[in-house]
Amino acid sequence: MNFLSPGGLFFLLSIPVILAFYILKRRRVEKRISSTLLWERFLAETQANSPFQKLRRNALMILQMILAGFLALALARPFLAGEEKVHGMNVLIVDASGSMMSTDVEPSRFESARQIAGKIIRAMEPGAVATLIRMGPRTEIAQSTTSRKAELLAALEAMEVSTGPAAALEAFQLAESLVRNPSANSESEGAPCSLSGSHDSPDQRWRPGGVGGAGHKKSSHSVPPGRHPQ
Amino acid sequence: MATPTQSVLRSEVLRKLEQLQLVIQKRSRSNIRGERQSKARGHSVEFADHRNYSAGDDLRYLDWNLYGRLDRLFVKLYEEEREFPVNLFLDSSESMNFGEPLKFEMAAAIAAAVGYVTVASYDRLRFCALPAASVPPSAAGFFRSIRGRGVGLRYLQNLQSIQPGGQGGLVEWLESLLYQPGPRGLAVGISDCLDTRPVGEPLKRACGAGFQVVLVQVLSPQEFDPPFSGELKLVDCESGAHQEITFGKYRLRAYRQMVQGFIDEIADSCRQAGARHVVIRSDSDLDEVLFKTLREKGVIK
Repeated sequence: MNFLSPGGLFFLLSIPVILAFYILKRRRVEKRISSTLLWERFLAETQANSPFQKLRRNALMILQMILAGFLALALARPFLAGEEKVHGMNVLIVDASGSMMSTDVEPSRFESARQIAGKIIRAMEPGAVATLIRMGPRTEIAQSTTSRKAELLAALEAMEVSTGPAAALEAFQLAESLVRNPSANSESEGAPCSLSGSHDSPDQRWRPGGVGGAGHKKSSHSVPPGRHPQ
Repeated sequence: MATPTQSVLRSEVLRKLEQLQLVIQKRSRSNIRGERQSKARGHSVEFADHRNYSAGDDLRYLDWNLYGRLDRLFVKLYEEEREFPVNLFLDSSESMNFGEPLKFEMAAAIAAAVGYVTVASYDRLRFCALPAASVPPSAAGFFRSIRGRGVGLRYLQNLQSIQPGGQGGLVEWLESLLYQPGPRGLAVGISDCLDTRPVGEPLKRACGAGFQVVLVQVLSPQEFDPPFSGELKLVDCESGAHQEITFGKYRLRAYRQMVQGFIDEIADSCRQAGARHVVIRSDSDLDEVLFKTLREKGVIK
């Protein structure tokens, strides 16, 4: 479980405050004195403005504490992060341009992209299909649409980085056509189409940052596909 | 227990005490000769009145000067001096065994002084310490009636054998006064007045019965300023009752007001009954208490 706004957890501090009232009331130091006569008088005179007297033996206090706890949790907006599920038709585009040889990401941008793609393939549900596209100077289908993970992974392993620029526009056009006509070269029977990585918004056609997960945070798409220098 | 009366036993204090007398507002009604003014006529040095001579009167008391002037025989009458009974009460309940310094220590010292002053002026002392269990049986008999200078020191020694403990005191003593046979006299009660029963009614009845009552209230500094604070469960040493209390320095003023109110209430009861009331802190200087406070309050002269 995780929290969208952990700052709300500061509200949890209200629990010890309530608890303090409760504990302080319970733990009394016993003291022998000459006579409680004076203290009885003292209490009788000041009882009206004693805040602690009212909290005595109060089951409501525990309820208040529980309530405060739930409130704090609600303020923190909790959510559960599930396993990433990949289903339906997926197209993984791996950038194999020369810039991917850069080692600003360990061990290199390309290796990192390969790992991310591998992770997506392994997360595929039974029935999900994927196509692997290598986006180098020439766009080529590294592995045609299949649901077999072993083949996809083998193709991913065999993929090599090139020295040229990336034909991004071409690759995305190819991916788009694959997604639009899945029956053309896929065993899938018209499963809801989505580009891999955009599973949280299946209606969206493609999203450069999510495509293939190919190091989308790692500058493989430093240039938007539509404005790629040809 | 440290000997409470030790400081009274110092010879210079005793010498001072011997010069003091208890303030008596009433004439003695006792039949036993002493050193107090009474309504009876007798043979002291204090001239009271003349009376016509009648046959059989002692010729020694004829006023010969008057006979020379008026040629008539008169007998001089003198005031008879009688003893004045003093009832002295020392609260020896458990609550007196508290405070720093002990309330009982101060109370016993005052009792020693008042008792010694009584005995030194040839008045009869009836000493009483309650609860009865706190007094050893050998001393209890002695305390019932003490008279004569010779027993002054014995009185002080017996006073030291009292061990405070138990419950009750002041109100029981005031009530017991009513059943006491013999002439009424002075009644001095030394107590912290922390009695569960209100002191007002019995006080009124004792005064109404003819006693001249003096109430000496001894309180410890801890009762004026509690040395503790926080969440406390206070246990009464006498009754074992507890009282849960939340106390902090911020409530000290309210507490002091309450203590003052408590003292004022007792002072009011005394005023209404016609008794004297003296408050003494157990950390006061004993000499100052004996020779200043009690004098100013008109208990001793």
